[in-house]
Amino acid sequence: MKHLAALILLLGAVEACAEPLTASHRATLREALDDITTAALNQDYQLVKVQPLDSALVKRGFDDPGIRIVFIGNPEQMRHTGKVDAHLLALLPLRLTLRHEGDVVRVSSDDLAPWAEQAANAESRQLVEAWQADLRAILDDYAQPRP
Amino acid sequence: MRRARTFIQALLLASLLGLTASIVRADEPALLTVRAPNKGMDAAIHDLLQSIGAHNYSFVRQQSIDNRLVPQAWEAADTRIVYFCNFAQMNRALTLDARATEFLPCRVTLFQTRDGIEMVAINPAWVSERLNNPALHPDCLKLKQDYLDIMNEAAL
Repeated sequence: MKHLAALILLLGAVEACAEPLTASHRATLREALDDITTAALNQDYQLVKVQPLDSALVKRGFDDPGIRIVFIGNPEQMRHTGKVDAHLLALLPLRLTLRHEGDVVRVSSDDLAPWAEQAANAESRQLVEAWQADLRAILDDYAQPRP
Repeated sequence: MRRARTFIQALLLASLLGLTASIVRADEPALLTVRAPNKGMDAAIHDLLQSIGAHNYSFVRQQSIDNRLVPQAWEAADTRIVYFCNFAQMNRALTLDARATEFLPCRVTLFQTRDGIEMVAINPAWVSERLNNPALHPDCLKLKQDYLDIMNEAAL
């Protein structure tokens, strides 16, 4: 009985770990955009597009959610993914969410771990795991306080 | 002692329910895929935009997959992305759960195959199951159905 309980709790804990990666520091939204762009560049990713959900919603009469989405990518990643598993192109360019919370901007990435788990083959899995590692490095970089 | 046992039993029951939910939720596919045989990229994009409008969504933008990553003349012609949105739906989803940005704004990726065009989108219902927010899930099921209707209509 004890072993069964331990197993169930362990499995529950594993599932609970499936969360997006996040990092935050004290900054204005403008500063946070600069910081995340620099952090992405340090991992050979370029900023593709900023999607200002906040102003798009406010312009249409909705409340400001304080959220912007940033898309990042690199051309080699696109080419390689097309060859390995074209369906994974649906995840690109990679997406980061910036959320303004008081004087802190929290950045989170999509949770790619489940994508790696259900990848079509080992090469696809490695590819997604590499993206996950890149996102982790970008967010670790972003988590450093501003000078 | 009895309280501790009751607590452990409740914990076990909760974990079992969680595991059962995980098993049940394995049905949703991660990706929604629709094929448009014998169509070129321009025709597929045109039909997709028509379908988006017909289903009460606003077109946001379309771009090549490597837009702004390479000079414009070198951009890939065989893979494009179309973004679209229903702002009232987006507002509602973000109010329910800020993590809805994992599937918003809506995005369909189109790529050329030997037989025509394939359209792929991340399944919002699959994402929502992992987010484990029961309040958000009905909206995600509707959004999934909208994706399928939009893509199937564009594929005709």
